[in-house]
Amino acid sequence: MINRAANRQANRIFLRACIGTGIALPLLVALPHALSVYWQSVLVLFTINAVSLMGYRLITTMGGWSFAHISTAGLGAYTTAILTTLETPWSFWATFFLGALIAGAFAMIIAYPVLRTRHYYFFLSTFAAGEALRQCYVQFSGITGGTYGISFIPRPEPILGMDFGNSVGFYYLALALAVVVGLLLYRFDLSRLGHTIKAVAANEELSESIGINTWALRTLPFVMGSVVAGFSGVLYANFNGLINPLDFSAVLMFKLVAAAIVGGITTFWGPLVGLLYLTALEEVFRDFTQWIPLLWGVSVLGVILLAEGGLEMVIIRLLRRARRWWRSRGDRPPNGARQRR
Amino acid sequence: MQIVANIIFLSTFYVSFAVGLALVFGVMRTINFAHGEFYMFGGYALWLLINAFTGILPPGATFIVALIVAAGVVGVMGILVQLSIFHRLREQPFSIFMATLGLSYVLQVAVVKAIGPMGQSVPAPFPGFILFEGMVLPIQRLVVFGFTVVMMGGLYLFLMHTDLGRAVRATAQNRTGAMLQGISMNHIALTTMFVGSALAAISGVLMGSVLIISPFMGGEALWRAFIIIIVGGIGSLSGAVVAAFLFGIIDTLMTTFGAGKFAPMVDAIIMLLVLSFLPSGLLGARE
Repeated sequence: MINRAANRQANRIFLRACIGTGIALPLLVALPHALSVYWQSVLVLFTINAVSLMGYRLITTMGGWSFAHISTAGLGAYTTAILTTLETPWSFWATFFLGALIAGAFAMIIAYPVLRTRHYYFFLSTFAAGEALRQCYVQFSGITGGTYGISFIPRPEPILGMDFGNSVGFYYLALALAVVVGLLLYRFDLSRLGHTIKAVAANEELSESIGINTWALRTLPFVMGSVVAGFSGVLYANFNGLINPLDFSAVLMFKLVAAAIVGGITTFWGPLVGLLYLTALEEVFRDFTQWIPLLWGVSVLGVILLAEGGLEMVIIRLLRRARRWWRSRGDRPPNGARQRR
Repeated sequence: MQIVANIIFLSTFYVSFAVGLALVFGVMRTINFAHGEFYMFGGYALWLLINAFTGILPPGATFIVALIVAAGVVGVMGILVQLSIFHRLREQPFSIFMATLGLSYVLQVAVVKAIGPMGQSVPAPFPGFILFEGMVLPIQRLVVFGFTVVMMGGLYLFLMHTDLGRAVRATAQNRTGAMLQGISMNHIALTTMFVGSALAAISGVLMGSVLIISPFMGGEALWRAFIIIIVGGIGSLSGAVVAAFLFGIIDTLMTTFGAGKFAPMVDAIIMLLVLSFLPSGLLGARE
């Protein structure tokens, strides 16, 4: 009975999110038409990063902050880059799914050893595994093009009359992926399974003692999140047209981690707020590219030392205050009434 | 025979870099991500002093001055990090890790802006080489090896034969037990951060004399150091030394026999295998 009630409540919250997305969608669809070509490409990259970040947040719900996420996304990128630039090129749409699958398979292979580790061990082992994977992109130059990478990656071929050759068309593809992934992951987050995963993260021994398969529940989000990373990597490669190992370096991994820290990970939208903040910072200081990692680093330090819980907590607190103000406004007698008394 | 020399030189590098990280981890139970940047500061200290003292001091003397200055300055930076980050966030190892990750980018960019992103190199303070049994032994590399041995010996003496060193070891073994013996955790944390950071700087000066000094040298060395301390057993100094030699042998052999491009992959696979079958590493204590 409790389950059913909880499920109904989850459905209600999810429905609200769907309606919200439905309302926001026309705005998001219209948005690129109001922007210059430069800002359109910023928007596309933001959407692709947002997809990757939603997968990343899923991984963090199981209690581990992976540092291999961006290298895993690289697997998707290299898959599509290699296969669509062959002499008899593959269709983008085949590599789209294959790339995500390969990223997921990689996660499944390293899941056994790295998920045996907890806390800092987990960061270290995923950091080392991710960096070693990135070194493979550099070293196996025969197929990956080494440090020069792969160029002339074609845009996806048109489908249903949609042309992805320009930024607007590509943005719609990225937006569609973001909406689908976002809603699916949000529903997953609300589900019983999603809650159980968080319970495992909170207390693994206790969860295990009441008969939860903690092993499976740690592997599942790790692999799912990596599949999402694979999708984002595929889109990145096809949008950019060229990739090299630097596109998957520690600095970009730091951007994802920083987004999750600055935004906070308790809510589903927290990391996205963080990403919005970091992207805004990056664009404001566009002419000072070398300073950007420093600004990100300072933001992370600031949030950790001064604003625990990240921007999401700040926003939640403000919303709560606004709601309280809104309610108390109704209780108070109107000004005129007080004067009459 | 040249292979043996190369193995020893590479292992020296791995040992000198990883041992400070392992020491800090063992005592503080968290990772100082800025360790790589402290190492980089050591390299730049050598570069700056060599440039400043050309013609005033012989390069060999400058090298020794750089060792002392870098160890002192970076050690104090370690104390500052302890006071500003580690102490404020104690009991939150994850936050410390993330904060030092942020700090490492701050330091990296600071150096890029102050000195420039290009790699620098210094002329060997002890130039020349020895031919011995068919081996080519650059004197500078031998000096680096010698200083690493001295550094490790000093660390051994400090940890094994001084009261402070014993207290540091006690803290690493059992925090509560050490506290019950009246050991001040703050004192130990400050000592450890000073020594660990100074070790990073010494390693940076030593390696700066034979490698290219760049703002990114720390980040490049760090992931290998993570593999080394995981395989050695996190927090275990002897484990770190053993693992450093293990990877020194593997990487040198692979490079010599033309399989250098597989080295990162093989290193990572070894780490993953060790994690699968010996989660606490080769010489790590089971927690």
